Amino acid sequence: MPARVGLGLIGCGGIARSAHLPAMAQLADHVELLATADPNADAAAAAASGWGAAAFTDYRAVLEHPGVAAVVIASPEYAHPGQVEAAAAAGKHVLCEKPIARTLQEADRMIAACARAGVHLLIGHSRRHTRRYHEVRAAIDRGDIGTVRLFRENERRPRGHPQIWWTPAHWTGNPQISGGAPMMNAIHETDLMRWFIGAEASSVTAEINVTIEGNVGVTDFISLTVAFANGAIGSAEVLNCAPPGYPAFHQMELYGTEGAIRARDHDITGLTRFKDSGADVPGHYDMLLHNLPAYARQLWELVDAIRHNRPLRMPPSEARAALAIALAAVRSAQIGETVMLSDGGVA
Amino acid sequence: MTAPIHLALIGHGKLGLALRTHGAPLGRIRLVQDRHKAQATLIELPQPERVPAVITALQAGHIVLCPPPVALDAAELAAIEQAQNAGGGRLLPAGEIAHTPAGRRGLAEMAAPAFGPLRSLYIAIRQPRGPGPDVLDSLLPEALDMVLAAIPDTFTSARINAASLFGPERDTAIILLRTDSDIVVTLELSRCLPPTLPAPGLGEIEIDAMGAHQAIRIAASAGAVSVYRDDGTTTHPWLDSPALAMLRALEHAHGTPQTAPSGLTRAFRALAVDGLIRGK
Repeated sequence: MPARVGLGLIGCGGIARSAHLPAMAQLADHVELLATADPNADAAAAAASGWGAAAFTDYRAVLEHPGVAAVVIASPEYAHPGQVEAAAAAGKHVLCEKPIARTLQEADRMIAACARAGVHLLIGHSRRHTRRYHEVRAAIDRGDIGTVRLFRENERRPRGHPQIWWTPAHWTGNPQISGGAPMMNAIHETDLMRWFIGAEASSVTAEINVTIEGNVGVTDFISLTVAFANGAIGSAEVLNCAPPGYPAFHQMELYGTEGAIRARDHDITGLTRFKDSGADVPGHYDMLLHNLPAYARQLWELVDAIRHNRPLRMPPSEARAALAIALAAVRSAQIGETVMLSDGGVA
Repeated sequence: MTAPIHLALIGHGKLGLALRTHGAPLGRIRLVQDRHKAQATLIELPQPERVPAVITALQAGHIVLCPPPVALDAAELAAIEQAQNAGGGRLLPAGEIAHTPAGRRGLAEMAAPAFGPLRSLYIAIRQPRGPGPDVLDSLLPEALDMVLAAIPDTFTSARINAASLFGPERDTAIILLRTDSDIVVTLELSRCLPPTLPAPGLGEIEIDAMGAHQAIRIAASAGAVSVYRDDGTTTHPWLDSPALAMLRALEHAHGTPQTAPSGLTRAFRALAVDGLIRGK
């Protein structure tokens, strides 16, 4: 068996605990967590404890660890550019959470730094690694539905999921540093619609809003529609104010010239009692597809690319393109007009 | 015993067919062949003939049901308003979605205090792929009628991304609306369904309304209407038919003063929002 790939973890908050650390555990025969870092020393120590890894409050200490070949960056997006550029300078491969950055200029710097250093930069668009969307992409490639002409998705997250999000007590609720729903959630939709339609975006129209009680001004709602260069249309409505138990968390639909594909959570969710007076759902009994295997497959993509010195299946330019659409959507909402895209950015 | 209300049917459409085939008295409603003996009229005519028929019925003092759009421009609506004022008739809202069992229940739930202020509204209407008129002419009027039934606010902006995706005609439109109270409405209208979805020849309607305390979901896959509450519980009540709901509205309107916004008011609002969407 090849030697395990030494990993560092930068950022030990919610997504690290719920997704990246379990993914590392799943791949424990192939990876070894050697060092962690988080400004919160307790969080860094907790993440390190299961592996006997070293814990730091300064991410640069992780980059100095000689055994670390790759770092998983699970910090907020405002921290990505500095951390990725530093990792590249230290010769470390990178798996960085989405969105790649807050601006296209930052993204370009990160991509260039990794290219110069000869290290991989994989951006964590985790949904590309779900079995569900693997199957969708394969069906498109087989021509099962002809040419994709219309992509639509609703992502309707429950309020308080997690409890602290969108409140001033958490960075997601801080208007100074949070990109809000366009960056946290809709970046998935802008990536998926482009991936499935297979063309570049030519224009974006969007509306944004603040809908959650207690939210002090971070965009938590976005509805956007994208015109693609091949004539196809993408649309996505993303919100974070659904009551608990609301079943249509994700519903992605593709309509092609010869068929349609639907991948919808609510088709597989819920327990319903049928009575003479009507039907009722006594509570929320979740059967959503669990996303954890997607994070393991995502990490495996980086590990396998390192081991075989092969290109990543999703180069960082793809993440940059998703960011360009999301930024254009925000701009469209702000100015009240459709925004044209050209050469990968706002025209 | 309460006197019957005589209803004349003009034109041929889904509502008239439902009433003709019902085969029994419908509450106080009695269908009559002679429109001169009627007190109410259901008009299902194509657009060039629709406005004159509406005007004639209103001038005769009838309660008038007419699916949207009642008129295509301000001049036609002004003529209808003049006829209503002169004849004493009353135009009632007759959007089919708003009168479906799920639509009515959804509107009632949204209007209830427990729902809280509306945050966002999403309406999708999908029809089978194939030739047909521009979706702004075929699917938008029904969607707008439901939007206006749900939201009394003024609409301040509308933006549209529309294209011919599956054939030569404009078959798909994504429309984003915003009100003066910052409610965002998303409309997705498309003739995009393959022949196998959901059943040959049928379409789909999906409505999701997010309130501060509850959400309403109306969708083919949800069965009818579903109410999701903050405590995590959900209910799906049983409901009845849209044509009967329209007739109940007609019965209620007959002989009682107008309390709710009239069909004419909704038609004026629809014309204004339609103009925003089309950039007129």
